Amino acid sequence: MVTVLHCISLESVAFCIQGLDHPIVDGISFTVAEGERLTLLGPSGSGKSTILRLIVRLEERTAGAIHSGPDLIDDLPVRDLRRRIALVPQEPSLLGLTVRGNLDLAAELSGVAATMSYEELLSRVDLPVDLLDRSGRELSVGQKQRVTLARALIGRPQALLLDEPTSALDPGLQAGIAGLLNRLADDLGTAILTVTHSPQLAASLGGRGIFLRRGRIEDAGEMQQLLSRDGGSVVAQFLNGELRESS
Amino acid sequence: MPDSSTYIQLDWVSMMAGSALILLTIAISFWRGLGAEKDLFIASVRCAGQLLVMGLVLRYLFRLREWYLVIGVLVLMTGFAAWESYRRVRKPVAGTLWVISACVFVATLISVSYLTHVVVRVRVWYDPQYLIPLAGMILGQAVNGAAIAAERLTQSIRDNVGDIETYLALGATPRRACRKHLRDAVHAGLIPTVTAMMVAGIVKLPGMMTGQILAGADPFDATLYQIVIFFALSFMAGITAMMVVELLHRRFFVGDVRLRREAV
Repeated sequence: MVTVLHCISLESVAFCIQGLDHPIVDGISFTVAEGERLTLLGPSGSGKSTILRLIVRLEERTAGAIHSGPDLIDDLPVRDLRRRIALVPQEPSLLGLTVRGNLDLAAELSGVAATMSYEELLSRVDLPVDLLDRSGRELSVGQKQRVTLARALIGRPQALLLDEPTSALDPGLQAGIAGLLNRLADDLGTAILTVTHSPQLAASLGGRGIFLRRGRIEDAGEMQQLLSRDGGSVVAQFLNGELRESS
Repeated sequence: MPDSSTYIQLDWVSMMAGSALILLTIAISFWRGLGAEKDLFIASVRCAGQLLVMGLVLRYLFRLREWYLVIGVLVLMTGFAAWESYRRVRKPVAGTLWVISACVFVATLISVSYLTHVVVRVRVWYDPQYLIPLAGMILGQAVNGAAIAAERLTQSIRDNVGDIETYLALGATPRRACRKHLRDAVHAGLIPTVTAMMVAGIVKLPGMMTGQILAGADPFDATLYQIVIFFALSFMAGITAMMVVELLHRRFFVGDVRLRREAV
């Protein structure tokens, strides 16, 4: 029997906000295995980004349980949790620092001795080394996105959570990011949980997929199968642009 | 205490003549349609009323010289200072009033005790002639320090939620995530004091020194008092602003974990 080690697992997780009549996240359960690629796909307002925030405790769930490996996330010191699971937010903010400043900051905060030089780290995210001393203001959105990825990788996380990693990028650059993420997962063994409303990115990432709508899981499976559901399915409706909703 | 024979006392004619200045300003504003009359009028009435009440209270206190009355007035003054600071913060986060009150009270207690006992070395610990004016001056500074720091910190945190969460996601503590905003807020809280110290004696003569000179004190003695007062004022503004930012930024977070949704 092969034991699958779960890097992240969610059991019946719910999240409600006072004053809102419906839950943002409603009884979600799924697991992410070590080194796995899982993509949460769905329209705006389906609760995808909130799930990522719940996993790293930037929001507090109202019901259910979330584990990082064998540990309930509430039992872990929050710094350890965020070292294990790194969130890359949708807006790539470089905090007014240079690229090196960002990497120094991440190294300081993670408290983990560097196993990769900054040069190697930048080359892993397809950035030229001469950007190291550039200010964030001088970089393109795509370059900033890659720097935030490099910054997240400093602490050698077990899992990377990516919130709409290509939302600010041209379609041509989207494929580049997808290829980069797949390489990172293969080379470093890092589990990658991506949130996107872009079927193109979801297709490029492959792996497993979960389709969310109104805070619930509507469909799940291998991404290629999910994206080729027949015309009556909710995923097909979404792909055809017939599902447009926002909370 | 200066002898009344060494200074010219103001009578009602003098007061009316002084009032003519503010009335003239109000009249010009009205004539030119500049809309400043209401603010000027309310401020003048409040200012005159508050000062007259304070003058009568002080006269009464100086005669009675009872410690509990002096402490009562100090507590009232501190309470008003805390309330005034709080009022100046736009959309304050829950708990701001308590934070500001605690900081203003503690800073005032430290400053007034130190000034009266270590610096001036009063003979009677509750001597109202020293305690009340000194407290009045440093409280004015506490109001500035607390209000500006609290306002700047509150806005700064709300304007930078994304960056603060990025810090948290990288494993930073709330204080580390807000460090830049704490520094900016303390810096802003100190600007009025630092500016006043920079121009003291060059651009303007400070109020206390001027008052002492008008009351007949030796200008050099008045200068020594003023220097000490400036240091006490900067201590007050600095310590109040620092305490406020240290306590207030915590009100935006749930433990060390996340930003409080309703605060931002």
